Amino acid sequence: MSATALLKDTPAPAKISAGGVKKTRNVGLKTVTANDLMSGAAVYLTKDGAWTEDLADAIVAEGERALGLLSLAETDEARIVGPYLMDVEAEDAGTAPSGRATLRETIRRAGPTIHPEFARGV
Amino acid sequence: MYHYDQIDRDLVQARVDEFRDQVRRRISGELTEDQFKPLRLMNGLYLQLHAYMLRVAIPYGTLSSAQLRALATLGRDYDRGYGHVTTRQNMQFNWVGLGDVPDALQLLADHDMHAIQTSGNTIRNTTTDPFAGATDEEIEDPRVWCEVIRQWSTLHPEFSFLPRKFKIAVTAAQNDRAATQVHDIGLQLYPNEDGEAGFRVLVGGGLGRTPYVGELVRDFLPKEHLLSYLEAILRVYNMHGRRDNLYKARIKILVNEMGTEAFREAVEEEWQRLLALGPGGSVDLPEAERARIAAFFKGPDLTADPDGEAVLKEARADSRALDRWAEVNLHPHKVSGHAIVTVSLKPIGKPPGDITSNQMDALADLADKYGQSEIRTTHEQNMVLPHVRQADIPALYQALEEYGLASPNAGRITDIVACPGLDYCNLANTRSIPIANQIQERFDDLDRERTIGELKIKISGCINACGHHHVGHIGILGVDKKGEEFYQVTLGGASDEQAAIGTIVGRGLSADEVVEAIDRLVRTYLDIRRDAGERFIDTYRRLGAEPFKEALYAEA
Repeated sequence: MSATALLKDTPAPAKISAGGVKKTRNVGLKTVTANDLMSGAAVYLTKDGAWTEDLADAIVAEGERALGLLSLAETDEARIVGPYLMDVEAEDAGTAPSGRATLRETIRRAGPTIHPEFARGV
Repeated sequence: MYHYDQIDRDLVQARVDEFRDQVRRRISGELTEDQFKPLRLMNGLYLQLHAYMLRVAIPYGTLSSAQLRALATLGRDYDRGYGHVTTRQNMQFNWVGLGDVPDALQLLADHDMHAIQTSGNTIRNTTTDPFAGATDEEIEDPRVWCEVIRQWSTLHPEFSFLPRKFKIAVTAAQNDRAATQVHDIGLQLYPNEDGEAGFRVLVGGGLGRTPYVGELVRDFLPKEHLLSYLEAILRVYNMHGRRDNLYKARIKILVNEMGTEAFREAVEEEWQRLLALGPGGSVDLPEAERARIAAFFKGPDLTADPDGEAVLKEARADSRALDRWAEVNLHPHKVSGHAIVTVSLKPIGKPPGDITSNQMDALADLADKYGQSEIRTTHEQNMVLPHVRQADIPALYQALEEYGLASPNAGRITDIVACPGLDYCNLANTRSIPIANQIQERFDDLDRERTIGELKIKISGCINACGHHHVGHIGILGVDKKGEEFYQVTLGGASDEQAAIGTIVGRGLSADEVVEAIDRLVRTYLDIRRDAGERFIDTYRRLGAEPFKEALYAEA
């Protein structure tokens, strides 16, 4: 452990996957996201344990609860591939991607910026 | 061109059947994702941001019209009506559903194609000159050797789990259109003083996060020993290549760490061991087998047409649009009265390398009508009709125009190479295609583009460099700075016979700054070039980065 970390009262949470090659820390609001097994589409975990393509319906959690939801998702291989926690924030219009991977998650949510005809409902 | 024999057919069909069962087992839950992932990757199936992506191998970029129609069908029936030509001369489909993949692979198998070894730590599709078999610059058709390599490397048990992926390119022309110097192995076929053809062998070139131009390890390798020598190189790599660090696992790192001389000696030692096995033990190809394969590449029987040039000249005089297109999209053919046609997949404002299923069908029809039923893909994300009568060019041009395939920009500033970037790719940091489109739109002026002349811009959305930015005359690399897209510019790269890795000239630019900065670079070039015949890259080589650096950051 680094000297900086030792001097802190509470060490920073360990890094976790944030999709692709990106890493993040388990700080702040999170949603569990993954790809649908059959179509590969970006999906989000709902409070009922189902998966939705609409981020507005996703369950939002933080800390240990977020990690617990991720663990739950990791057992759902019949429906999804590669779950991870993505940073989100609550906006007036609903849940939105946030943090360093905002652009990546916005594109996953909405579709490629170069093909408006393939846009998903946002 | 090469046609599958029964062995090829049985092998590919067995693989389709095997993968069909693997997909079934994954869906039923018999296989976990950890178990399934390496199996799907062995069949070219990636999972990207929005969907599965199927990468189809196009061996050395050669397609028949029937194969192109099959790819059109794949795009239409199992994807969203288009495909994407890659910088490895392959074609990717971005929206394939898992349940459809076995049928898509069956469609490919029915047309002598597959997606094997388009992923994983294996020997990937061997690439070559898209003008092979048509240009008078080559000593012989390099595709014969590409096919030899394909047969040798396909499911080669010793080389199916290399430290990292492995890419080979072959050229037989002095003008290197296959980027051989930036490949793990680059093979340059040329005649020695006695007129015998052999290979100059370069090893350890590559792009990615540690770009290198390949090192010469053998100046002249007799053709008949190609496979044993390749086998020796791969064995040394397989034995000594690093497996402890993903980023240091490519052969370029091994060559660099061992030193070229030590690497060459290790290869030589292994090669001598293989040669000592003699004809029955070495993997070198018997002459009869080479001749059998070579017979497939005899090429079409073209009749010289001494009047063709005059017919085309007259048509060009009558049509400015045809003339402007012909100026850059046609290249000389070895048979008089014929031409090699580059079909640009870079219309302004569209993703570079994309081609719709309808366009594929149309191009296949045009290849049947005017081009001996043959099509090539290029590592610059275009297509080529290699054998067209000059007298047919005006009609071909009109038809291409009708299908949006007549962009007059081959080799010009709007003929931009770009990786899929963050619009599709799971590894990307930034988008590439929108930057390419913005630059295209800025330079969407045929007169200005013509004044600028040859200028190759290549864009990658991350350091993996699938957009080959290191070898762009102007390279653009997307970098993520705290969640914002920035773009680092490199200058002076080239992938031809004067291959060079571009130099980073300064800090990254924001997405909003890139187009204006490129425009300033181009204006500077036009101001300081010696004359209209001096290309951007020539001016850069003459004057270095300094004047361009000033321009790049002048108002940023």
